[in-house]
Formats: sequence, structure tokens, C-alpha cells
Amino acid sequence: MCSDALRAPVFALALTLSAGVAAQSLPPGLLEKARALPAPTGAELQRHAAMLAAMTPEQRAAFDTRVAQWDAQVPAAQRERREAWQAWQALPEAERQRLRAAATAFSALPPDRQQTLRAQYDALDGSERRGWLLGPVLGTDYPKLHALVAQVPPDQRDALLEALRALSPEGRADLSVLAQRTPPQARDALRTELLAQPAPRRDAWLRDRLHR
Amino acid sequence: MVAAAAACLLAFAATFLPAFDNQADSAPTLRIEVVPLPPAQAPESTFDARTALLTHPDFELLAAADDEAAASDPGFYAWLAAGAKVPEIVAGSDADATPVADAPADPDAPTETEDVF
Repeated sequence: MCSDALRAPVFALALTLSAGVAAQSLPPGLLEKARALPAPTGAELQRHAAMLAAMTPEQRAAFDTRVAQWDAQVPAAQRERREAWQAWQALPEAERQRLRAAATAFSALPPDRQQTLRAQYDALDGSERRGWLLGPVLGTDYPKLHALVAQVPPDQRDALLEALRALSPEGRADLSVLAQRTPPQARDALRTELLAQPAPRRDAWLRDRLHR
Repeated sequence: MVAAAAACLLAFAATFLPAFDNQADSAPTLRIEVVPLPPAQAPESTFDARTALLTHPDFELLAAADDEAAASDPGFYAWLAAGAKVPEIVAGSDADATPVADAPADPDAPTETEDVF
């Protein structure tokens, strides 16, 4: 019990010290401005400083090279790469493993087969390609769920993605039908109601709603 | 009166003489010194290089240095993974590799330019 009582202040002290150490590595001019920034932005700067400080000279040189190469790219190429990175970061680890396996299998294909597959993918509609950025699970259902998942408020986005991934394939199929039957002005309400259901009940709720 | 008119005409005629032609002997190239500009330089930066690096909008992307192929093009590899036919592609047909949507996209779906995720 005593150790529990001590744990919180010790943890808080450790956090404060680590933030202080990171802040010390910010340039003086930036340190002053970082204190005036909103907390998430200031914390981000301190995290960046800590990451730089943790790099070896070789890693730092490689990083500087990457930054220079990145800055030399045209904005469209940067945007594409940024979207890909954000999509990769948002994928659950299980889906990342599936993508790694696909990449390994793809690299073993003859070049002409690789080109054929690339051409097939590039020929997809742009909206469909964006759907595949959600991963192999949601990408499959994206054309049917598009009506529901387009233009989601930012504060619902992560919760909706998590809910969609957690649904069974049958649940997603039910939701696809519901999404297409629901008029555009009522889709917000459908999405909000879905998210309001407890996660284990969502499949049953969708089935009930579909047959109502 | 006649003398005044004659003086005016004389003065007007005199303006055509080279001695009174300001433009003839004072062309810009003769009067203005022209020096080529030095090569363009980058504007003076408000922050030093380290600050610019720390505030780089894509800092974490670049620091991650995720060179694995799957991370560089997750859309394409998700499409392949959903097809789940890559090993069969070697022996099979192209159609095996294409994950085909069961239904066409919603006709009233927003276009690419809208805020779609």
C-alpha cells in the first residue's frame, strides 16, 4: 500500500524530469516559444528533440539526408507518401503482418507479373484505391461502406474505424446494406447510433435494424 | 502681336533642333548605369537549421525511416492481401489476384475531392 502511494508521485517526478531533459535540448529561441505553444505542440517539439538526441551520428547523417531528399520532392509526391505513412501507422498489427506477407510474396514474382498487378491496381478508381489504405479488411468492404464512412467528423473517425474492424463480416455486410438504404441526410444518425451501441452488441443491433 | 506669334513659332521650331532634344543625347543607356544583379540568395531565416528540423511537419515520418515495402505503399499491398492469391498468381490467372468489389460504388458517393477517409 505504501508503495502504491509512492508510485504516483515518483512517476510524476520521472515524467517531469524527462520532459525537462528533452526541453533542455531545444534551441533557446525555440524553447521560449515552445512554452507558449499549446501543450500537444510543445510536447511534440520536445519529443522531436529527444528523438534527435537519441540518434547516433550515422543515424543523424542519414536522417539529414532523408530530410533534404524529402524537401526536394514535389508537394504531390510528399502528400502521397504522407498519406501512405499515416495509413500504415493506423493499421492494426495483424493487418500489417498481412501486408508484409503480401509484399514478400509480391517481391518473389517475376517482374512482368509485378508490372501487371501494379497496372491493375493503378487502373482502379481513385476512391477505391483510397479505400485500400484502410487495410485489407475494410478495403474489401469500402465501396459498399463508402456512403457511410465518407465525410466522417474527425472526432468519430478513429472510433468508427475501430468499430468497423471489430464487426464480423456479416455485420459489415448488414451495415453495407443499411448504408445504401439510408438516405444521405440520415447517415450521420445511423453512424452515431452504431457507435453508441456496446461493441459486443453491434452485430446483433445491425441485424435487428436491417430486419426492422 | 505678329512678333509674339513669330516668336512662338520660332520657339516651337527650335524644339526640333538636336541641341534641344533631351532624348537624343540622354538615352537611358547613356545616363543610367546598368549593373547585373548578383545571383539570388535564399531569404534570411528567422530560425536556425536545428529549429527548422525540429519543427519539420513530417519529422516523425522521416525519423521513422520505415523502409519496408509494405509501409511504403499500404494501399497496394492491402489490395494484394485482400486478394490473398499472390502465391497462386504465379501459376494462376490475373483474375485470381483482383479483389473484385461485390457491388459498384454508391452513385451518390462523394468524389475524390471531398473529405473522404
